[in-house]
Amino acid sequence: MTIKSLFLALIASFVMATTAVGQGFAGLGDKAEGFEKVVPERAIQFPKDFGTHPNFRIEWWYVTANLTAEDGRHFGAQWTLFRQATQPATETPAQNHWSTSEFWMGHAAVTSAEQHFSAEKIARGGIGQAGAKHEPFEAWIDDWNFAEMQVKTGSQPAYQINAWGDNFGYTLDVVSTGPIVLHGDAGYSVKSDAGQASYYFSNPFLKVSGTINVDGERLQVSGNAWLDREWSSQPLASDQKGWDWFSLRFETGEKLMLFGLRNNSNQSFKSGTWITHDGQTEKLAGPLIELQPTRFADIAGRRVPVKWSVKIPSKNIAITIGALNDNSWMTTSISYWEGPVTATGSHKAIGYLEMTGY
Amino acid sequence: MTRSLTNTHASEQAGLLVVAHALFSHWRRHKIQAITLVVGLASATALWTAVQALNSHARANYAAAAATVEGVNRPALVSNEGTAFDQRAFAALRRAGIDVTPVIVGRFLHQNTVIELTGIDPVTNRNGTFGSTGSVEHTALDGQQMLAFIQPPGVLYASTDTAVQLEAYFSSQRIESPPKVVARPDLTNGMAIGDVTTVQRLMALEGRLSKLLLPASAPAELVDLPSPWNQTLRLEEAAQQVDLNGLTDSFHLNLTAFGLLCFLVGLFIVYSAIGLAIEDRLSSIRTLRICGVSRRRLLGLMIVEMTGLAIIAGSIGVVLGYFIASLLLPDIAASLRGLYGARISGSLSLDTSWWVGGIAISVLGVLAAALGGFFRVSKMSLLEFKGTDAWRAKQNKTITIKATLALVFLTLALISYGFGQGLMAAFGVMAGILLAAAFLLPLLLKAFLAIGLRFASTPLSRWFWADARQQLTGLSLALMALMLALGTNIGVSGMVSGFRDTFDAFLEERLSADLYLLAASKNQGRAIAAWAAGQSEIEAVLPITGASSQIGGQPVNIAGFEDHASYRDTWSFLEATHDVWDRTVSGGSVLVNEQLARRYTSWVNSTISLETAAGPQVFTIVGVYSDYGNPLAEVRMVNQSVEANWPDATQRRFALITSAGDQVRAAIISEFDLPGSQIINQAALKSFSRGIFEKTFTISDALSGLTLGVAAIAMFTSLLALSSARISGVAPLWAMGVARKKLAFYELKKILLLAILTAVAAIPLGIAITWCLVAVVNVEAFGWRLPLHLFPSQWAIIGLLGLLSALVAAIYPALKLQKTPPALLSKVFANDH
Amino acid sequence: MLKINNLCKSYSTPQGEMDVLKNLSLDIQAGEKVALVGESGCGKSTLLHVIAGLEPIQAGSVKVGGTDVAALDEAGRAALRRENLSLVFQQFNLITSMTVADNLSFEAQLAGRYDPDWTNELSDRLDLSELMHRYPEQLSGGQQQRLAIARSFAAKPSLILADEPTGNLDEANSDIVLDIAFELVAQTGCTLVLATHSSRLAKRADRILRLSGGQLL
Repeated sequence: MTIKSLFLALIASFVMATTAVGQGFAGLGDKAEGFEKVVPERAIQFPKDFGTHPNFRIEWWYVTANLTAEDGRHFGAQWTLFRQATQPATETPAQNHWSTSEFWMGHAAVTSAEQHFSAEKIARGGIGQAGAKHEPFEAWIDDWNFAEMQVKTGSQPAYQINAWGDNFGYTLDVVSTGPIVLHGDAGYSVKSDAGQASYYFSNPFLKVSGTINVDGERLQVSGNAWLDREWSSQPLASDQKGWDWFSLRFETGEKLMLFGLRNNSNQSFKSGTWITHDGQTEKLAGPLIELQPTRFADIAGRRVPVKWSVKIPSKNIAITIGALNDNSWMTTSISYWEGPVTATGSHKAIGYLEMTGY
Repeated sequence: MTRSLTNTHASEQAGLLVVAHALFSHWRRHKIQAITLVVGLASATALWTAVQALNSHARANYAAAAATVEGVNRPALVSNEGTAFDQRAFAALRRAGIDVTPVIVGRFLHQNTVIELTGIDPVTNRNGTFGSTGSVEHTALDGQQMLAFIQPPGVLYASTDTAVQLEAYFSSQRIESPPKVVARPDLTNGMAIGDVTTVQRLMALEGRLSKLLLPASAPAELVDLPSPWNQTLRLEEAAQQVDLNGLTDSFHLNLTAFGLLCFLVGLFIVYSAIGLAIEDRLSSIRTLRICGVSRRRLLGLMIVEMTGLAIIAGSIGVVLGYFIASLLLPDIAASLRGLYGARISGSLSLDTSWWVGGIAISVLGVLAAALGGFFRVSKMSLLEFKGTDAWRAKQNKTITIKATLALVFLTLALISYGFGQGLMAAFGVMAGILLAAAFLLPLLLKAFLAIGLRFASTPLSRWFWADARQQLTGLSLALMALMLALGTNIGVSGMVSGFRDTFDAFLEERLSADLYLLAASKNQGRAIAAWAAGQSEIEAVLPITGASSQIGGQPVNIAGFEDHASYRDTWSFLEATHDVWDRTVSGGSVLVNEQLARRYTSWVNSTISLETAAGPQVFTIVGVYSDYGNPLAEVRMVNQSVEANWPDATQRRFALITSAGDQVRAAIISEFDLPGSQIINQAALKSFSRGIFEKTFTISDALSGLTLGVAAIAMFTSLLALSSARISGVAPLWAMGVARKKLAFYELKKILLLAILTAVAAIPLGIAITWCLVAVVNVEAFGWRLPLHLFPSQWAIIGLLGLLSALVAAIYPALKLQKTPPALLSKVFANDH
Repeated sequence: MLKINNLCKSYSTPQGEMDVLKNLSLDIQAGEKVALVGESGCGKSTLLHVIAGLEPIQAGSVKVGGTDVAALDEAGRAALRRENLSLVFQQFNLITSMTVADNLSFEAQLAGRYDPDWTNELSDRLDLSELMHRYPEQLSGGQQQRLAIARSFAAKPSLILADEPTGNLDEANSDIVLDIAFELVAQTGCTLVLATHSSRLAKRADRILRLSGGQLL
């Protein structure tokens, strides 16, 4: 048994014992029979929605951080925890049991201009090896943790995030400096013209300080981070094969989230959120967004766009987005590109880019 | 032939093709010689290739299998009581950064058979190996299989037999939604594997785990357990596999010894075959030279010819060797499967390196063998008188050279023995002895034949002995090859049988009781002993205590035993007092192993001072026993002495005497939830060990047979090459009135005589080889010496096989002689017609 | 002693049957010394081989001392050679594996007529006494032929068939050997058939038979 075959089992074949091959990227386009549907006008609830949603098929906790070391070098750090179910939870799960239908996967990475480290952990649910809870907030897999600090330094929540892998690791102290931001229509984020959607909110106002270890070197770092929470039962249409997702923090204090979901004929379903410095949001519909790759790089045998032109005329945005490290490839069971980026042009920004399905 | 070549129009400027045609036409005229040469070369290459192939395949598989075993024998965390523990330990340890994976083991009895269910978590059991009693490798499961394995009702993988038993059990017990049972032939009988949830549900062990496996690579002693688990769990080191190493090493040794033998025999065969082929053509080569073909051109052509032959024969040999190896491979795969319980690839791929190696050895061997012939051709006098062959002068010269070489090799062997170190030196001793014996053979045979001649009175018997002596020249290489084959066969099978006997006796001694069990704790041990005392089918329960002590600061193991007939009857001693048992039982006197006796030169009636809880105590040695494979010094005494001197001695080990081993074992397993690996049925263990040995020996035997076969081919080739010369040798006798039939019979008798003499000479060589293997090679390889056992019946069998192969080789040439047309014989005398 | 009637002998060759002896008849009395002369290839050796039963014939009869050689089986022919006749060849055909002494007594012992005194006398007369422990390869050509002759006479045969016995010897050696041989023939009274192409040698015989084209002239 290879770890790969396990992942194919857990993710690609997903819920359908009868479906041999999943549809969409990582099976996210599979049908969601039995699971709870994502519907508009379901109010996002805090802090409850920081925790798990056992009736939904998939969800994730996602932190990306742009960091600068004391010597001026730039780094990116990623902490991700996925929860996937092969069956909807029919009853309240007992504590301390081995789940036969819930699986967890953690990804962690550190990116510098020269190197990219990534690691992966997998676990079954129920037994406590991996999980998430909302009060106080804690998400974990083995000894990777993303947890709310019990002792707060101010009124805003503070977290500690840590993970490690071969030749890298990090411990980051994170303090929230702004409100939580809901994407789409009050958190209902449409993903395709056919109506696939997810619940999606972010905290883009996170200040970070901490240490990272790279190749035996221990560095003090500081910077900013972005937290995403998203859950769904069928977030992709069956013909959608991947996405390009951007999170940017402008020097002026505004933030921008935008994504394009590519289908088999390379048509992109675009959407975005414009976030003011105090957390006010404006939904950006697809037609308002111009998203164009301008340079490709050969990475892991694939042709991956590493430079993008982004134009949002309504916001006078005309920027070029480039990677800190072209080779930010996650060599995990399901591989994808995820790394820090900088934007130049009409506006200057730093942020993260995630590209799947290449 | 000479006539036709004389007519060949060849001059200094003669076309290469004409000369080549003249030279190579020999093979067309002597098809049988060509065939035998190719067959001889091909079979030597085949044997070489086969051994190389088997050796490398076995080694590659050892590496793979050993890796698998390491995966299985991982250190683990178990509860202090040896019982199942709360599974919350798993997540707690994982969250503390300790890379553990859970195992739950449950056992139940079904129709007097214990079935052990092992539950695992495939998500964290990443290296894909697990198991408890044997070792199991489960190959990749695809996505659907993985989900089926995890999701209710789950899947149990079991051996074919056990799968049937499981199905029967589930239906007889009316188990609700039983797991799907899938037969997997690679699994050990009596065990099944499923998801941790499946086994917990079936065995009603929800929430419990038996052990947490640690990564094999992790430094287990550094594992820092979080509270409260540091109070309840303890580290169990990976299982020791001492016996396995001994067995695999002996396997290696066998193959290595055979590799050496095949190389030597092959060299002799190639040398003899090529030498004769050149000898046979000397006259035609002379004619070519007289006709004006230059020496350089002739030698160049011969090198091309020999290389071509070697490539053809080598290629055939490689393919042949591949088939031999693939025929033997199932046995090797089976013995490795026996050794490791792991799946070994049973298929062989024809490596490029074998092609290159096989053909290279063929070419090198041929060219080396032909060197003498090339030399003769280049030094050849063009006017050599083809009259009475000066055979005696030539024979005396070659025998003297060979005897000198024998002395050189013997000296090298002695130097290697006296000053060399390590396994290579040990093999150097063996190679030196083999070569020395081979090169001494012609001298010995000649001397013996001279004695025979002295005592022969009738003219034909005198001719018989005298002629045998003359034929020695042509046959000596084949006879040397035969002696090497016989000697090594006798030597290796002597070593192997001696090893087997020793091992059997050792097992008999050490496993004199029927069941051995290791309780999880002292308390459980007491409970089992108490229970066993009440069982009618258990005759005796013999506790085996254990302690560690020191002699002068060096560690020594203390093993206690209960006075019982089973010990008195089976134990044998290297040295003991006549009242050894009585004195041991009365206390104060002890038994020590050979290692201790040698290390401290403390034999019977001397005393040793052991560290005890109450300070140093002096004990008298009354017996010394052999203890193969144990590197440690060991002292045995009665349990009471152990407990009195070392109060904290372990008391978890028991020997049970019973005639119903399997039932008692099953009963104890189900009664006390003892892991199957902790209670061993010695009959099963013994037959398991012997089975492995037998399979290893099958390969040795097959290779022995093949080696003898190749020696027979060498003999056949030599005889056939000599057969044309024989006609002029026997023609005068025929003219004097000895019938062809009688002459043929004498020819056969002569070969048999030479073969018998060779076989007799091979016996001391075989003993020397056995000695070399047990007293030199084994000591270098394992650090202890095996006793030298002699097996005369084996010599007889191998000797008879040697005679048989010589007979088979000699029959055709003898028949050919008998059927020689008179015209051909009388041609010998003809001046004209 | 020797009576040949209408003897035909041919060899199979790739070109077909080749006649060697054609309808040959011959009568030799006991004690007679007959020389058989003719060119190389005329069939002299073949005739001797046929008489000795070394080669089969196609037609006619060959009687040695009243025994029809052609009617004998292999064992019978071997016995005939062993007991009645002896061959001396140009190539000596000594047994190279045995000493001079063994070679000398071999045929006599085989024939069951070994007489140590006679053998000693022969070795003395043929000047072999000093060479008894040598091997044939250590002898000169003349010594070898003397040994071959001594071997034949040691067996006291009633018929000696000699095929160019001096063919490999120089004239001086040849004369010495022949002198002794004829002396011995006279002494033992055996019959001698001597094939030679030398007329000088043939003249020493009682009768000369000339063979040409497979027939006696």
